[in-house]
Amino acid sequence: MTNTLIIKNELEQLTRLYAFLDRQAVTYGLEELQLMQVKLALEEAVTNVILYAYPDKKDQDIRIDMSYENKRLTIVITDTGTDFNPLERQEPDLTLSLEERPIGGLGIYLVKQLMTEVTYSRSAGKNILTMTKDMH
Amino acid sequence: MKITIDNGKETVISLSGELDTLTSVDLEKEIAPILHGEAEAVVLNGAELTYISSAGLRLLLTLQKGMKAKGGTFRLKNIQKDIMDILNITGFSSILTIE
Repeated sequence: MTNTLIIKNELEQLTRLYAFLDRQAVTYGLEELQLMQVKLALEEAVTNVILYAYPDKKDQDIRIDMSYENKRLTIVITDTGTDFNPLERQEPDLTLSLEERPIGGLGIYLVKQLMTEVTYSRSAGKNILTMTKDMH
Repeated sequence: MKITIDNGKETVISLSGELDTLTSVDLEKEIAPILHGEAEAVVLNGAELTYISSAGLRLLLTLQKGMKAKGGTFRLKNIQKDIMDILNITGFSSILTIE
């Protein structure tokens, strides 16, 4: 079964996202560490959409679908904003020294590290980011 | 999230709860006066910090760079294992001073 949350493109809406995930985590029986890692990946991915998908446009929808089957959590984030594949962003250079390191650019890197698989597709004017995590 | 600040030559910032995109905004407001104040050393006590996202990591970097720029120090202490894992994944553990 898939549960769906639709939020607007405002950072304040993240509190609704956290509450939604907390509810689903109880239903799925996720462990504390798993929940923390999923929350982090979800926050980073959705924050990215909130900040960049709809430049100068307010009151736009972001859809989050969540399901859990055979110990695999699947989260699909869909928006109708500007064509953007976050996975193509250059990965941060973690070997850089403090002075050389730019502030930011870590969000999508964290998503990739914390989830088992992350894919992006563009279809019918929508950005669709699919993240899965196997809970073993 | 609860932010407790004990100001002085050594200023201690104690964080309790979750440092996410939203609560980072609150912490960011507290950081500027510390960086411009009398502190020669800033210590972040993470004993009760249960979560950190990239917005929070960014503030750690701001503190580190800001303190270094004024000839001071910044260090973290009592960081819990789950948070330490995030610092390791992002390479932050190698550029921050962690006790």
